[in-house]
Formats: sequence, structure tokens, C-alpha cells
Amino acid sequence: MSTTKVIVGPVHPALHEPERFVFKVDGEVVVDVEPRLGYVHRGIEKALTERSFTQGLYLIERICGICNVAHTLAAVQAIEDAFNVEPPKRAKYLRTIVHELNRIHSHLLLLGVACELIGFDTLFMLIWRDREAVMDIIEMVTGNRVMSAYNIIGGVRRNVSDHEVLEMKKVLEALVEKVKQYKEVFAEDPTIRARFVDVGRLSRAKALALGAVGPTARGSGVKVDVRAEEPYAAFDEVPLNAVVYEEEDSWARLMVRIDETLESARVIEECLDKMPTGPVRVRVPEVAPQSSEGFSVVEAPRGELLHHVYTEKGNDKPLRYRVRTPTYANIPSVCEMLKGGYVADIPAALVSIDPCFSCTDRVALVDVRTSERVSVDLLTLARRYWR
Amino acid sequence: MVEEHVELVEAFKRGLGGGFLSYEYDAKRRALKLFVERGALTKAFELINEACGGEYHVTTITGADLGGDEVEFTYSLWLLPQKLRVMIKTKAPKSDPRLRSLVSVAPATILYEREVHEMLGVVFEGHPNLERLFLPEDWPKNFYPLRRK
Amino acid sequence: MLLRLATWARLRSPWILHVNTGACNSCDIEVLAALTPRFDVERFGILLKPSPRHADVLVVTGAVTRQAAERIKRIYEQSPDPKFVMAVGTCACSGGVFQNCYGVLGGVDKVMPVDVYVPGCPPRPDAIIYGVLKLIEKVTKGG
Repeated sequence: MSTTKVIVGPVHPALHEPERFVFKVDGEVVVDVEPRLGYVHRGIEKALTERSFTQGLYLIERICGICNVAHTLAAVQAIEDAFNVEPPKRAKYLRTIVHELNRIHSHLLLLGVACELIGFDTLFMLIWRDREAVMDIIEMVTGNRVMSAYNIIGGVRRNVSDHEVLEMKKVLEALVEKVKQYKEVFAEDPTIRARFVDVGRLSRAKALALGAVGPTARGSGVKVDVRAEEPYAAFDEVPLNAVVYEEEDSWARLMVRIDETLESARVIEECLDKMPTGPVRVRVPEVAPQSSEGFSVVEAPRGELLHHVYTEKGNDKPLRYRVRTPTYANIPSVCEMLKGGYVADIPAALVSIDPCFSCTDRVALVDVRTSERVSVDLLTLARRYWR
Repeated sequence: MVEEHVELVEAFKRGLGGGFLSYEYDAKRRALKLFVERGALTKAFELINEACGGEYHVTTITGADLGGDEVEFTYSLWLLPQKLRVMIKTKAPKSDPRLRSLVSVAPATILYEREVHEMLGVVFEGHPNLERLFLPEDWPKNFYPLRRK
Repeated sequence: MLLRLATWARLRSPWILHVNTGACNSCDIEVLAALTPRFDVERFGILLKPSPRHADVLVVTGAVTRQAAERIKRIYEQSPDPKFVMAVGTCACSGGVFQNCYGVLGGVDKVMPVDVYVPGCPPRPDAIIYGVLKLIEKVTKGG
């Protein structure tokens, strides 16, 4: 089955389709990969220099809705670093709890989407149904299902009651049992293994050399997790065990996330037990108290996330604000994974890095011999091109 | 200061000579800021590569126009064996915004250099492909969004 | 509400094409959540389709980046009549927090006519379903 003969969607070579990747193919094999990153470019770094620190938080939260907690956490920590402000201990614990709840929802989301992509609809529905329990406790704690708006400069926006603590423990206990079952499925189900094992190979050497982060790196044996290496929030008192797999393929990257979900549940439980009483925020000046620089590196669900801010004394806006998202860091590794692989493996490899884009997004396939160009969405590619 | 980290700073002083300007160390955060001349960047990376046996992670490159005559750069790295974050800082004058590309020494810099070029107009000499990364193709040629007026 | 939805669905089951025009993904995951067991719009025949040629309703999220604008215009053109457009999320309605950012046009109606606006950041799956109901009302009333 030659990919160049099947036309999916109209072909307009003159019009620049905003695909995420352009794949040069020779028959069924990917020869080269070019990333196209302009689709979601919104000019955020520039916009942040035109907004106050607090206004900026609303924008920062929306860099990625799925891991909005990681972004606001990195932001408030970077600004606190520049302002030389220390949030109260209870706030650090609460930040950690919500940070890990966000990770659990994000990982379950991805695991479900991975199933959906390969046509395993039942499992997708089951995982997303169970994920709703996490959405409920996130809503209970922060007031919102998705956009938490929970981290503020100086602490967190809301406290948590004893009843809410008990509720969280109850929900997580039930969820852990479900996730352990899903772990067995992902480890042993022949359909899942057939579609993900040995797909998207990324050696440890390449993962490190190309700057891979998160489960993408840890699925290839790179033992780096910011929570363990550069502890922030409450991780200095509630240590985390980094999850690493050595198989270097898409399956390993998915398994890392399942184990991380279990580890996150354990960390939340420990935080709930050890959390000290006290205030949840300190007052912070609206303008920068000094001309300085601050940075914060956190482990977002997709990997290492950096926020870097430059402040000017007396200015309520940052001079410069830089965000380096984990998916961006993983792009060179994704290109490496796909080169020399089959076109049919593209969706399974892409979904395994948990990219910041959806199944209806498109990729372009250009045949190196005929120069014929085809634009196709990932879901169709996954369903129709299964070898 | 942890002994391994002391050794690292000494190695930089020896290896970079006049290119080494100063350093700041934060023990609590396990972070080392290293201020160097822009010509010493490649050598600094080579020294890090040696000190880590290749086991280091490039987090990113941040370029910043803070309003003065220069563009400031921060190369943020994580050294695995030393468990240390190293931030190499350097500057280039706006009148001559050029740096040597580090792609051959540290492949992970490939997209970050493109981004700094696109956003600030800095040229990375020796980079294989300094094409646009985020901005639409029809955006004006000499428009660098993160340059200040 | 559910009875009215079921009644109408017996007449037609709208097929939906979901398009992200540079959104932060939070609206997209709530649109997807509407299909999952807890909310389950699929039992009314509402299906998510990947191709514009089968779509009755375009569910659009995102503030519309300049690159995405070209894409949704073409999708709109390729969808057969009658077709309807739902702007889901505050960004799709007006640009949201991304108004005045250099990369963004600021709302779906800058590019095509919109039939239903569902504000929210993101709107809950319940709100999105309510938006679909409003659209159906509009359609059956001949709007």
C-alpha cells in the first residue's frame, strides 16, 4: 500500500497548510522530518512584557490548559525568586498536591487518547470516565475543572478543609486500584503492544544529546526528573522516586506515565499527611522590589518546564519573560524517532510524547520521488495506514 | 560549596583564561551562574562535556534585550553527574549581534538558536538552517518581536 | 434538556468536526469529555468526525492564529451545506486573554459567521452540550 496513491483531503500545493510536521517519505518509509511550530504561536513572551505580573498569570495559565498548574507554579516561583519572597510552608504543600493532581489528570488524558488513536475506544472511554473523579477533586480544591487559577505570587489562592483532605484520600485510593488494572492492560494487551512496542525508537544517547525531557527521556533510560534532582515546592520534604524505563520506545513512554500516576497518588497522600497548618499566602508588592532575575524549573506532566523572568526595580511589568515548554524541547527527539520508521508508526510515536496538539491536527507527507504532497490528519493516518 | 562544584569552577578558570569573567553560586538551589566572553562559549561547552562525560542536558537558550546596547544570553544546562544547574551567561553588542553556533558541539541547541535568531535578530554563525521557526512566512523580514525600541 | 435533545436527535444526528485554531487545549479536552461516559452526547447520535466533508457542525476552539485562519476558512468551504459554526470558549468568541497579541486574529467571527457562542475558560462539558442544544433550537426554528 503506497502512501502516495491514497489522497486524503484535497491537495493544494500552492497553499501553505499549517501542518505540525512535514514528512519526506519514500513509499512507506520516513526519510526526513521537518517540524512546523508556527501553528500555535500567539506572541506570548512579548505580551507578557506588556502586562503586570498578576495580569501575566492569566496569560501564562493559558499557554497550555492541560498543564496550566505547572505553568503557574513555575511562574510564581520564578517571580518569587526575583522578588526574593518565600511563600509559607502550607502553601508549598498545597501547590505540590494540586501540581500532582494536574499530572494525574494529564497522564490519564493522554493514556485515553493513545487508546482512541489506535481504535481501542472502550479503554479510552473507561480511562476518561475514571479521570472524571480527578476532575471532581481538582474542582473541589481549586474551584474549576481545568483552569485552576490556584497558584498566586506569594502562595495559593485557597485553603483546603479537613473534609476535603479526607475526600481526596478516598478518591485517590479508589483511583489507584483502577490505575493498577490499567497498568496490567498496557503491559500485556496484544493490541496495545503491537501498536506501541518498538515504535518510535529513541536511544538513550540520542535522547540526552537532543535535549529530550519528561517521560520521553525517562522512557529511554535518562534518569532525570526535576522533582527529584532540583526539588521545589514540598519535594524537599516529600521526596519523589523518578520513574525510568529502558525499552526506548513508545510503549515505554506510556508505561512511565502509568507508574508516574501511581507515584503522584502516593506523593499527594504523603503531603496530605505531613502538611503543616498556617497561612497559605504572604502579601507581595505589586511592583518589583529590585532589579533582578528569577528562574524556576518544574517537572510539568510532559517534562522539564522553565520560566525565566527579568525584573526592574519599581516596574510592575517584567522586562523579559521566557517560557520553554517541554513539548518544544522534545521536538528534535521526535524527528529522530520518526526518521527511518514507517509512515504507519507516526501517530503512535507522536502520541507517546504527549504533544501539545490534537488528533485532528494534520501532517504533510511528501514523496521524495514524485514530489507529490498529501495532507492528512493524525486520526485518519492511525486508522487507515495500519500495516 | 560542594567539592565537585569547586573543581568545575577551577576547570573553567583554567580552560577559559581571559574568557572567564566571574561566577555566582547558589548552594541551596544547586545553581552556578558563569559569566563569560562570547568567544569562550564553545570552549565552555567543551569543558562541560569533559567534566560530565557527555552526561549533560541542555535546557534552553534565552536571549534578552533589556533596553541597553547589548543582547544578553543565558545558556541553561543541567549536569547529571554533578547534579548542578549551570547557567552560562554572555553578551553581544546590538551593533554586532553574532555568536558561534553550538549545534556541532551540543545538538540540542538547534531549535533554540533558530528561535533566538528569529526573535532577536542574532546570527549564529555555522548554524545549518536559520530559517523561521514560529513566525509566519509572510511576516516582514527584519521584524524581531523581542527587540526593544 | 436531555429529552429535547433526544427528540431532535431522532430527526437528525449532527456530525461534528472539531477544529483547534491555536487554542490552549483546555476547551478541546472539555469538548472531548462531552463524548465520554459521564456526559455521553454520543447516545444522541452526535459523533465526532475528522473530515469536513461529513460535518454538519464545526466546533471551533482557539483565538484563531494567523496560520489557523487559512485552515478554517478552507474547512468551512469544504463542509457541505447546511453547516453551522459553534465558537467554543472565550478565545473563540472574542480572542479572550490573547486579544491584541501579535500572533492572533481574535475570535472565529473574524473569519466566518458563527451560529452559537459558548463562552467559558473553558466552558464545562455541560455548557458545551447546552450550546449544541441552543444550536438545534435555532435550526429547528429556521434560524
